[in-house]
Amino acid sequence: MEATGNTMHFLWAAYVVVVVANVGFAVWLWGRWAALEREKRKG
Amino acid sequence: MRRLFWMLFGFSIALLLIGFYEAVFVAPVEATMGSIYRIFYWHVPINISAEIFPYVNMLASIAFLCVRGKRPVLAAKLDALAVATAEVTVLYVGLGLITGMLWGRPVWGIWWTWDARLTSFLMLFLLYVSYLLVRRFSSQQSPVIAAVLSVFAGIDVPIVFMSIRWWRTQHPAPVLTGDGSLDRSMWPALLWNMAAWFFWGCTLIWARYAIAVREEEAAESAAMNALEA
Repeated sequence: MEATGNTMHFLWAAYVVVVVANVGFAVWLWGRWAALEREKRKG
Repeated sequence: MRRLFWMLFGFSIALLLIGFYEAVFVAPVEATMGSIYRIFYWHVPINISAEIFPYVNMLASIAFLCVRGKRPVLAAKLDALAVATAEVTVLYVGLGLITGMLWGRPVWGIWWTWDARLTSFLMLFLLYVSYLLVRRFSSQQSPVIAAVLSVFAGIDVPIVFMSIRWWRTQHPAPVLTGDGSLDRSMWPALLWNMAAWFFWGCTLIWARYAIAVREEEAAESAAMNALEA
């Protein structure tokens, strides 16, 4: 048997980066919207 | 409108799930690179959308510059659209750069090279980061300065697109056009992901646009209250 470089972790790293960035951005947007709604209800 | 937004959101999520399934379980293994090439199904669709949204930003900015003196309500909406597209562009171009590096390292043996495609794409990223910084830290004139900057940023997009045609680069030549560079069996996964990332980007832009409009309304209302007090 001969060993070769395992490249699959780069693929999984790409999945994780893409998912985390998009979910993070969506959650940030949700937070901003919720804050505006709270302010609107207050004032 | 809110219902339409949630429909678009659901539609985008469904497309993203189909795209993921197609890319991971249906698309064949590439002959030379093996499965690592599947980054392609995120890298290319995200980059294609990252070259479309700057044009929306540029058109909104040009329209904003034209109408800001005459129609302030429309100008505020165009400005909100410009901010929304700029932020999603930064997200998409950033992801395009990172996924490219994660693909380049195992395939080329390097994370980065200063070739025309990578450098012009990095410039696009930096231009939109500057756009957001101008908006964040500049004075009252920041929408105007940012709108002018967005026109220059928009000029970089065709340079990014043509760079692999004009110059010899480390980055591969176009694989979507030309003589059968992409195997027919790889197209469905690519097309699903192209649609998915485009519609997801539109969903994010819509959400950010709604926030920007609401912020503008809140600022106006606060100013009116201050005047009345």
